[in-house]
Amino acid sequence: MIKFLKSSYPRSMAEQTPQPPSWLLNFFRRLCKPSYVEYIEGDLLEIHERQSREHEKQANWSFAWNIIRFLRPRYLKGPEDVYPKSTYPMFKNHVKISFRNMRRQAAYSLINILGLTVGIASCLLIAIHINMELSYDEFYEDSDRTFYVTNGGKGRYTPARMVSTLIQDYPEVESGTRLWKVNDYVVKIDGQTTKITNGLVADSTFFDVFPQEFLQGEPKTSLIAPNSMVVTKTFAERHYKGQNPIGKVIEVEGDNYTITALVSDPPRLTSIPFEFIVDFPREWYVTTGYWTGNNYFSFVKLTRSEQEPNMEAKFVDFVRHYYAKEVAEDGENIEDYILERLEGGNPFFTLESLKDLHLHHPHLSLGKGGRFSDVLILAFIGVLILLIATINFINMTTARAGLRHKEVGVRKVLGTTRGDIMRQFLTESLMVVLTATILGFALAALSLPYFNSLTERSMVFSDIASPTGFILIAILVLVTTLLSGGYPAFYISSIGPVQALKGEGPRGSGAGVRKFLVIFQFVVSIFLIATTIIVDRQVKLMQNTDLGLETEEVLAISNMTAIADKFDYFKGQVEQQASVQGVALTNQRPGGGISNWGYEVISDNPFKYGPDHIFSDGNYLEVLDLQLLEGRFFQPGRQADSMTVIINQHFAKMIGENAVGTTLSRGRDRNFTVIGVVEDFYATTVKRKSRPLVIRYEDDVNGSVAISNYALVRIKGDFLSTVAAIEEQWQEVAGDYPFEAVFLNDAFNRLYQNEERFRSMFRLFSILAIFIASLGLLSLAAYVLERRYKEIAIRKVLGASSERITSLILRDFAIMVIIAAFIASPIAYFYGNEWLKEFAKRIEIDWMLLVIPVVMVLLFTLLLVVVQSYRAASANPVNALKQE
Amino acid sequence: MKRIQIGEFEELVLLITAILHGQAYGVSVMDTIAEQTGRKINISAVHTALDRLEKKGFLKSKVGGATGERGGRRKRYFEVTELGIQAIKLTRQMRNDLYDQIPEVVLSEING
Repeated sequence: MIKFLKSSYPRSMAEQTPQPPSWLLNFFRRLCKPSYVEYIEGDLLEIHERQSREHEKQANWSFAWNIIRFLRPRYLKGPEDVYPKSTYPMFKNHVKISFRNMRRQAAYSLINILGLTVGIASCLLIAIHINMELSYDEFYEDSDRTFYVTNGGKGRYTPARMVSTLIQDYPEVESGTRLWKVNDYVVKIDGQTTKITNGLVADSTFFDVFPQEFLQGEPKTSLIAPNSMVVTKTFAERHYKGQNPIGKVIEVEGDNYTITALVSDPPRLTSIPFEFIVDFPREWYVTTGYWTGNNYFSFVKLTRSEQEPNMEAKFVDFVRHYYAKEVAEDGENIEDYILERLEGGNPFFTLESLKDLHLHHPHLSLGKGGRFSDVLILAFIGVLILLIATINFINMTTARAGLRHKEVGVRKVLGTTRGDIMRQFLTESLMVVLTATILGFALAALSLPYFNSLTERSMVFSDIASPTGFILIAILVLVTTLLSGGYPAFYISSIGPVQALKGEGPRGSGAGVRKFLVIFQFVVSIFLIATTIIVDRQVKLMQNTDLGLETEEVLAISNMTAIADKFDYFKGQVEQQASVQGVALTNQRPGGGISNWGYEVISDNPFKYGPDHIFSDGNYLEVLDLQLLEGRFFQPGRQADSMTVIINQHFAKMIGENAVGTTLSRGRDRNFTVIGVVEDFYATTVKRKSRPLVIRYEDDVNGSVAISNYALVRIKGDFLSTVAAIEEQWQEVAGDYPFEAVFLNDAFNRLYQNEERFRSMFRLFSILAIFIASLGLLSLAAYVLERRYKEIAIRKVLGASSERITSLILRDFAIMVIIAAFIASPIAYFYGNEWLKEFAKRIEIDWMLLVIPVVMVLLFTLLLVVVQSYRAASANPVNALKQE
Repeated sequence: MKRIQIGEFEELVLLITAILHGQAYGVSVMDTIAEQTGRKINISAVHTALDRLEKKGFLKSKVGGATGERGGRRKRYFEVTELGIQAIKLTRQMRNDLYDQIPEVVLSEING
């Protein structure tokens, strides 16, 4: 603004120079280019003054007219006068200064950037991971009307004719396919023997349900002919490099298969992964099979997804119609059969949507399942990490900026506008955030291999550099920049130059807010440490629980129904091996699912109950090494034993005294006598509570009441060769039928695989969060000390020792930790217990557990602060006081 | 020969500025023009001409001389530059050359 000094030109009162209307002048001034304004106005006034001596009115009109004449482009304000001076060159200047400042405060900048970088990298990885987990099976367009047919809600296997009959009988079932999973086949390709894995056996309708991209061949016909095989690109590359695989003959387990089609690889994120698909053998157990035999994975596609609940209701009639014959053959009435099942509370079959498979029904997935709660928790941690990192960053930036009030004052005196100062601060923070972001991306990319091993995934860089990632980051950059640059920009820039140069900092430098933020970080750290310990201990507990049965030496082979009549022969063959200690037949595999059946206990206090239920033959006890507490176990061959049961300790306690001899009834004269009590053991995952258990006798694979699909083989000695031998014996009896066997301890461990993975991830990210928090702590400590530099010096001069000073500062921090502890511990306790509720056997969260994190944080804080304090306190006080 | 092109009015302003010799500014030039030629030019036209002449390099300006009538606002004084003098001389030369080439006959007729 140009200031016009009142001239010292003498004039008398009577000769006051008449002024033109001031509004005219203002009007002109507003429109005129600043560089011309003064001279033009001067001339105009001179003329006006002259003219007004003769005709005052006239003078004003002339004045106005002259002004109008001056309204030319040459004299009018242009864009460069209207818009802020901070154009691109100014921005470049800001950037230059930003980097200079960064270098000047190298240590702080480094810590700041480091914290933010780690935060961004972690958040990025977690976000991508979660995004992937949530987008399984999106590849299939009709995934919303594609369903998995479960057996009783949890069972994976369904009968052979299920799919075809459903399609036939119900118009709303459009299509469907059965699947077997192939673990490996021994094959001969061009004379070379090798193994192929990761395959499926499917019906020819497979591609109606799971459409794939066909590179060669036709979807409808590729699996129609017997012994057809469809291969993926990966398969072709591996085994037929450079050649066209179509038409080639490949010998699979002795039979010749022809490759009929080539498809692109199925997407990574799928519940139905495969490298090759073969058609079903034309055997009776495939085309007909037993209704009571469940050996197939079944998928159906409905015409509309809303029909799903209707379908489930129709299953009862379905069973009534089709199962009647076979059930009757076994001497039972179909209505009874149905009733028994429904009484137990289990539906016959349910339909689960393909989209829900991966996260909500991971055990049904043919790929690797995920877990929804894990996703949630990870998301939570991701957010937490980001929060801490950004809060730290904002905290530190604003703190440091507060110290620059002198700089701001000087610049204002030199004429910098407030706007410019604001832009300076914002640019600075933008530069730092951008640097951290770029580094964050780099860090994320570099740590991919490690992260992949952790999550058992194979993420590629392009996953991170996806549009989702960028949008996320862009938002983040924006928010962080605004928040961290905003406070100094708006607040500090408002300092008057005089106040700043006098040495006073801005009023209310936000110390309270800072304290709050630090306490928040302490809370988070304590919480994370506590929960990590909880997760750790729980997983360890699960892995080390005494299951009450032998797992390492027991092999569970499924699909006994495939060899039903020949089971005894098979059993005999297997038992012949020296290393085999026993073979038992049972309907459910320990570590697998379990069902429950209703009984009425006939005793002094009769009651009805539905204990867990297993069928087994007489060898069960020995093979699994169970402990018999009272009575006796089944004796193989004793016919009378078909009306006896064994119960476990838990159930025995429920019955009361003299459990042995009690009658359990299932109505209509089906009475069973308890002949023995075994010690509790885990028939299924330790996540479930120990429940009462009833074991009934069954030595026929296609028993009258239940299908016993599993053979448990106790092996002592050389596992590998024994299993190989058993597999041969199996193939002798079962032919092509897949040999599915697993050691019990592996089976159990697999139950916890998810937990294990979760634990690793949780631990990793907790550590990262704490790391970031400690960075924040470090820089905060340094900052606080710098502010109190003078105070420390004065204290020293007045005679305080270095130790005393240090302890003073320490006390402030310690108090913050204690406050944080009181906040964090209850939260950790509450959420820890919530998570633990899922597990039957769980650890106790005792006060000891909650104290450990607090102590750790305290010690750590101590360390960080002490080192810095001591240095500051030991410094020569003269240096501090000299600084003026 | 360097081509120097200035309009008739600009040339007038240039000459007047040279005449005023250090006292030339908006109002004084306007007044002098009115004195010398009787033409009443608007102040804005004068300013514009002066500005253009300066941009072309024939004049240079400096600031000074605030007075009461102007409410303390300073004046922008204009002076002729070397180039300006050249331009004046050249123009004069050119005019004279052309004048000298006019046949006697025409000139005597004009005088009548």
